[in-house]
Amino acid sequence: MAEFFEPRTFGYEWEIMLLNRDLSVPERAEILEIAHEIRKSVTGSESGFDFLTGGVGNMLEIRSGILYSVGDLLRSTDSHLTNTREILKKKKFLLLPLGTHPGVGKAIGFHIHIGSIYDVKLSKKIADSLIRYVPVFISIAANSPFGKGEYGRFKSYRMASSAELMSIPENIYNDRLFHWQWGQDITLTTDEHSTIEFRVNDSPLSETFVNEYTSFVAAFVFSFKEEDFIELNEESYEEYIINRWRATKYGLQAILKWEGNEVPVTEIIEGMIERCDFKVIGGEKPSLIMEMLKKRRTQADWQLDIMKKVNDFFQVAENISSLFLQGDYFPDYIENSNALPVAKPEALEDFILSRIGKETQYRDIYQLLLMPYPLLDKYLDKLVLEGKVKVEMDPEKGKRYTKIDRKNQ
Amino acid sequence: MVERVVVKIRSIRIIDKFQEDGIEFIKVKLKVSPISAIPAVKMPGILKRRVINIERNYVTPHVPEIGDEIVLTKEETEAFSNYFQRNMLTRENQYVKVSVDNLLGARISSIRYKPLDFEFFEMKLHISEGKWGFKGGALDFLDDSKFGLWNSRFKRTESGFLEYKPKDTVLRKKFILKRDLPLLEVKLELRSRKKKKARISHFMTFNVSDSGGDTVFYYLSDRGVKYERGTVRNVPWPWQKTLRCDTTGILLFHKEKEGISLMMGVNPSDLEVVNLYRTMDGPELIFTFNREEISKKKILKRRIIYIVGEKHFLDEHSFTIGARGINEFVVISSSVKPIRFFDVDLENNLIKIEAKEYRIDGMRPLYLSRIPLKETQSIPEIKGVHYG
Repeated sequence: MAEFFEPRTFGYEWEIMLLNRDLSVPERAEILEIAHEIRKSVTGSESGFDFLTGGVGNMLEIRSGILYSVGDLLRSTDSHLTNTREILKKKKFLLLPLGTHPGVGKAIGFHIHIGSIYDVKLSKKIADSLIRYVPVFISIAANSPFGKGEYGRFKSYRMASSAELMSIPENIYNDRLFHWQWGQDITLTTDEHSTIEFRVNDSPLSETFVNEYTSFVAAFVFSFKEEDFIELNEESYEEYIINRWRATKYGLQAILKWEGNEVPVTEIIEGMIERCDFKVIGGEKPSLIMEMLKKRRTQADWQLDIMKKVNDFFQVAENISSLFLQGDYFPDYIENSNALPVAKPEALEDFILSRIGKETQYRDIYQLLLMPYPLLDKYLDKLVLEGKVKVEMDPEKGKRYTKIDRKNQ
Repeated sequence: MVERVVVKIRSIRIIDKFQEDGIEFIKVKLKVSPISAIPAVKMPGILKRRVINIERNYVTPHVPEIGDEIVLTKEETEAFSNYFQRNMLTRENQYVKVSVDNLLGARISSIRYKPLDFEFFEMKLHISEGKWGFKGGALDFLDDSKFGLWNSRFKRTESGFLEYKPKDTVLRKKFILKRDLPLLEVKLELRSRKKKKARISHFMTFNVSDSGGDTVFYYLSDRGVKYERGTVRNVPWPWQKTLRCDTTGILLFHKEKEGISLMMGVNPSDLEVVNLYRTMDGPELIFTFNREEISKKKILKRRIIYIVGEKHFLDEHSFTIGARGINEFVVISSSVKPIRFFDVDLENNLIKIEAKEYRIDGMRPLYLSRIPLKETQSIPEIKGVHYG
């Protein structure tokens, strides 16, 4: 059987905040200058800048360029970081590889491209079959426990907001009428490059993690065969949405719905690692990730543990940036920390109910999870039937839901 | 008000090492002195010479160096709050306390209803175009720009105005809190040495919790009373609606859970449009006034009034607010028809009290009544309005 990806290529776009000491954002020219210095000093680098959403400013983006093996990957990451650290020694910036800006919650991602594939229909089928693994990738890569003005409610605030609509649930394939759509969890970049792009990953703070995680995603996708294609239905899509939300909330402590069962995400990942043939890209089993699974700890947990002791997001940022500019201390944290327990998941309908107030518009509820309307209706109809919310129709404002306060009844 | 002070480290002493949650920390004592602030404001020279001691925990091997710039915590920043308080203009009576921050574009940074200690304008740190600023409060724009937003160059004049003079233009603001009413009047004036057309917008952002479901903006439209909820958006792009209250100029921001209200009024003939935005940071309201020609001789003058209260009554012609003072309960109404009486429930007795006209230059008349109130009495309810 022909390989789907020929030749096997991969690469990443690693968004990293380059910030002033007070966590404000430098002028774009300053970021461009540093990106220029990185490109000059790293062979094959395509690094540049990208946009923070909402007119906040710009960020640095380290781009590996096309990689053919784990050897290429290690050299690219090492060369990029060695040179970036050297360049920034002379500057007074913070380099902050986190999934959100800890003060204002803006989304910062790590996008992995897998190629080379030229058939858009085939790449869409692969993307659709991979979406059940999207929550798994969100769990491992969770590195944004700071949201807008709050922290700790999610391990990935970035993905809880669907990366501010830069990584949204997949539109599933229709054989005759399918479109390209920007910013899906797995976006087709087959017509522009020759890749499919994983957009769900938070910007990571560890180079070991970057290398292991990129090779894991690549090896897993390369392990895909025609018999792995699945036809998505309502049940499997609902599992994807529920798991996606659980992964953002609990990281590696999550229990996912998996073919009708409740399974700890760490067990699912172990199975995925087992099926990977890392040798095809010259790699090996990811030892840091295996240790993370044992401890059920993510990069988000490291941030939260630092926060416990310093109690201020400016200080978390100062510590993480300084450590990142000196080396990679995340593996030490994982090695020295205790295992966390699995987390009993909150019921999704309770989460939906908690976000319904008075006359909450249907659109606002939809935008919480971006769950397809027919599936969302199932939850809302149940809440209405149980007398927890009431629904009303308004010609101007559409369908609106109000939580029923039982204490005052 | 400044949220954080940024300092430079003058000396460092390691005092302890410890491990927690698999992380090695060091505890250090630092001597630091201020260099800037968040948001960025002009620092008083005397402040830069102050040195304070702080203690910090750092994750090893990170040890800060002498000369490093770090951000103080909110609590540590309080050591310097007196220096910034001097730039606050405060107005206070028995009903309300208002603060205006000269350093932040003469912005109304706080309107607090005193009997319930309720704050309408909580300030939240925010980054726009790379720089720290605040969401919250009320400030003014000129000609669709963000003029005046963050500049700290407003000076107090002898006549009690806060004044800013960019190029050929002078923007003046005056904040008048009526002595015996829960009413703040904001006067805006724009002058120019050159003849030109100009306009002012008054921009407000509100303190709303995440779900925001109990926040309502009522407005008197040409089709009766209408409302929009001030829900926080889950998605990054704002939702916008033009509130058709340009014939009345009256709006009521109401918090259903607390039962508390902030009425806003402008002269409707000065109004071009009122827009409500729902954003991820909460609701924003912009009164955009008519564009007018200004010159050396012709001054553009605009007014906004804010009235606070814990009781309210709405009908299709008027919005009424009731506020509790030390010895009285005052009822104030903004109406499109003259009001003769208010119906008020006082300790389960429905009483009719006469409304008196109250005028502020250039504004639609207000109607008010005062009810003497003993400390032991329950707070009256406004039950109705009689026109005539």
